[in-house]
Amino acid sequence: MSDITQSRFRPATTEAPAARLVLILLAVAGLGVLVLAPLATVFAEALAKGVGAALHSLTAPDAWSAIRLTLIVAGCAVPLSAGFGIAAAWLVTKFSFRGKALLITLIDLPFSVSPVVAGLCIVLTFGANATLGGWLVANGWPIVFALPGIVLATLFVTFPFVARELIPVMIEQGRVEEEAALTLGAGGWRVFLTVTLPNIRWALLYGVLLANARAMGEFGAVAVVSGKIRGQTATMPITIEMLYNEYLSVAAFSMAALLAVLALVTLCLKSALEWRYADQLAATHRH
Amino acid sequence: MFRTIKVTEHIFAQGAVVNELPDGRLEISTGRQVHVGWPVPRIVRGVVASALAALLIAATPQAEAETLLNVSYDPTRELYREVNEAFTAQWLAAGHEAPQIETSHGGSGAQARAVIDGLSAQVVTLALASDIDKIAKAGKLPEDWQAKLPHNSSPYTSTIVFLVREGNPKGVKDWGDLVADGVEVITPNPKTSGGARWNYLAAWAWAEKNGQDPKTFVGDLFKHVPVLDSGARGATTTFAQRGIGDVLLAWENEAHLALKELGEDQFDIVVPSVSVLAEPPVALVEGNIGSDTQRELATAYLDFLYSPEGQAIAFRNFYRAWDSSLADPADVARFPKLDLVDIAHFGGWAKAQPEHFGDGGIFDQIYTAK
Amino acid sequence: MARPFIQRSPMPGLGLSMGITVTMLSLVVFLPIGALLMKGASFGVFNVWEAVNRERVWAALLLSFRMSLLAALVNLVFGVLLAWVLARYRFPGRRILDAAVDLPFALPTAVAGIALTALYAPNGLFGSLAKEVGLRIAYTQWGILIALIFVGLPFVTRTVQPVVEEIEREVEEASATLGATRLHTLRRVILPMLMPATLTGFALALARAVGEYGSVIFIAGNLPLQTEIAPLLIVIKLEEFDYDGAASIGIAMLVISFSMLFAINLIQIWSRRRIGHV
Repeated sequence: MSDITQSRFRPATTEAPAARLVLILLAVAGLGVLVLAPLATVFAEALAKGVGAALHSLTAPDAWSAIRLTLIVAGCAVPLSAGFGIAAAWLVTKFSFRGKALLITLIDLPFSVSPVVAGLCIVLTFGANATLGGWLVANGWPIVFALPGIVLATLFVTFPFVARELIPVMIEQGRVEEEAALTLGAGGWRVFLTVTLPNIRWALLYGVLLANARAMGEFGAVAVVSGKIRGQTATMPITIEMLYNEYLSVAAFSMAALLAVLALVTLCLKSALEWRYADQLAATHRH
Repeated sequence: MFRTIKVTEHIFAQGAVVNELPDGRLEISTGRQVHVGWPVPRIVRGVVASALAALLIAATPQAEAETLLNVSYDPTRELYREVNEAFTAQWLAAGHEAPQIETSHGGSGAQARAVIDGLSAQVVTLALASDIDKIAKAGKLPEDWQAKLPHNSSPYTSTIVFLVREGNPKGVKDWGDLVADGVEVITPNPKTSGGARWNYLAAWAWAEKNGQDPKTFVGDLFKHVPVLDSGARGATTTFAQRGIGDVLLAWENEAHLALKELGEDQFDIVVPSVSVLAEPPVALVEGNIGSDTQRELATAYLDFLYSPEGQAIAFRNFYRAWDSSLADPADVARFPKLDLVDIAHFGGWAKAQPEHFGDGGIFDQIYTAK
Repeated sequence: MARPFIQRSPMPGLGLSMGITVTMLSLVVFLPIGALLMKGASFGVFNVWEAVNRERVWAALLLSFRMSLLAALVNLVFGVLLAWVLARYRFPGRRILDAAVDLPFALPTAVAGIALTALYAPNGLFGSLAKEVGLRIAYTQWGILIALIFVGLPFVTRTVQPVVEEIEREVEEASATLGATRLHTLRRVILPMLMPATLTGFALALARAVGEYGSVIFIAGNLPLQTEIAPLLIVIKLEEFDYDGAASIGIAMLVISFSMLFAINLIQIWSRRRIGHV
């Protein structure tokens, strides 16, 4: 705020106040129409019969088990996709090899597959009628219609996020700093932990935020592999759909609102980090 | 075999193992150099293995009370919630242990596919006999399943009615009024919704009985449809909350439910002169029965649907059931008599499904022939 | 002399990162997609082509890809703007906007579809405004566009934002010192730096939009040849227990999306080599 009003002397690295104001207004208007208005609709539907009714609907045992399941699924899928993302980004940006564009595209592949098809793919691989799936079921390890299938479907749809966040940033940074550290005798892990990680932590955070939000909200792929058993394999999005179909719109939208809030918990974490490292951030930007 | 070793405090190397020293250290070759150091535990393998183990543990069903999974279709949620409660009470009263009854709801076709792909339902209660036929074809239950229980294995039936706006401003009385100028009709897509197939067939039956070419009539009807939602609930929302269309074609039980939930003062139900007798069938899935006690439970569950208590619950949930001896007379009186045509009239699902709704069938021709 | 397959590099961790990448990629992506391709192969290439080469399928594919391209373009422009505003300016409510960017992922697609339809239906808040000017949004192709912009919104913003945050101010100062106007600096210095991330975000938003099903079916109207999207055709095939037909359309979409992503990634690597980053 202070930037807009106070600075009469404008540094060469920012825009005219009028231009800034226009850009900010555009951003606010765009997000307002596209995102905040639908969100407001969700909250309005949830609170249509009062706060009490909304909260009461969330205390049902089925609602609790859906919340727990969604948290477990996100807790399994997000770290796995983060680990993969770091490894893949390192591979793509620190080494030169042929077929890099192909590899990056293969990492993107899950995005280009419709969630419905993603679910179908998993059923075709691990369903009781598939070779692999049949063998697993025969040995008492059902994948589809159980937790592993839901995690797998979630992992599939969130797979590229972290890698795709890290790659552009690591390309911008090049590998000069790492090479310097290596020349000074640091080992591989040390270079990664003390040189690379601090440089990529914001991108990593964004990647995890996105993956987490998507993991919690995924419906299409999970619906195919979940079996929709109330209290057992119904995640929050699936429970929302079931409640909506039962004409329980307050309960459905309350859970949707909670899901939005839950997925944004990580954003609070980001804000906290931003606040804590404000000095460092300022240093990288204005030294 | 590739391993990572720790050469000194901060220096790691990775390469093919050349030699394993007696003290546990490894000698590796990176291609250019040979290093000696302590092997680093395979973190990645460890993490993956423990994650998999955690998943498997979490997925292992706990040995508990006898369980029963009823895989059903969309509009039956309220019905089976009540049935499950009443049945559990009766089962307990008969001196058994409390069973754990789960239900799963979704589109009828998608639910059938899930059972074929391994969802271990002991009981299926779906919208169309053709969906259970598919499960039978996959070998999970005998081909003649529909003869095992009374009334074609359908403990309750329903029909298709019209939901119109309060006061019926467009004066819709019967199927013929739906193709009048300026009337917009809302129905889900027959390709994705089982209920919508009945809508289509009911219109077809009316045209046949009233001397019109059914194919032309149904084609005309769908020209009056501005939105084809994928499911019954979506169509109800489009009609009731978005204010699109003048008539909603709906299951009788859904229409009553919509009236109850969305406001009796906003909509009226119109019953046409001809409609269909939809028989949602139920069946025991032989292939998924784990033990004799489970079979006993599943059989009792299906029998309960035919008992006077079960039938009363069906009436209360706006289904046309068979035995009204214990039902509230008000629940029974809700259903006006009308001319009902069943699926046999169309040659059974095995014939009607591909002919009307299959790939390139009559419904597809409505949209491709211009 | 031919370029070696992997150029020698002093960087550590080649084996480890390669190992993790290839293993996870195989387990999570190749195995399921392989199953899909196998399904197509057992159906026969000719039959797959027959299942796809129909007026209705082409109309749906064309609609899906045209709308997705439009939506991704809108997201490209708006996403870069948003990333710049969020990363550079301080104003009241910035945190709320920042949080709102991820919402399209957090809301299940069906909820988003229902909420958007409520807003853009003729009796909704924006829908009634549009009706005043004679425009119908819900249940037309415009509705599809709105839903696709919504689901793809976070991609461009969230890939560009970290890059903006990492740009060092010296570069801009240097440019200004050398006499460039602010606009010139933005165009000639900043935008090229944002290019790789922007293209990435564009590609991802595009790919995501092509496959989107849950939110679109509520707002689209789903009339064959007019507002019927390709993923809906797949669901229809599945309802008919026609796994082969579903797999065929799935493969067609996969091939088209894959080619588009591959082309974008090639352009990106090529332009980077020209600028001399890698």
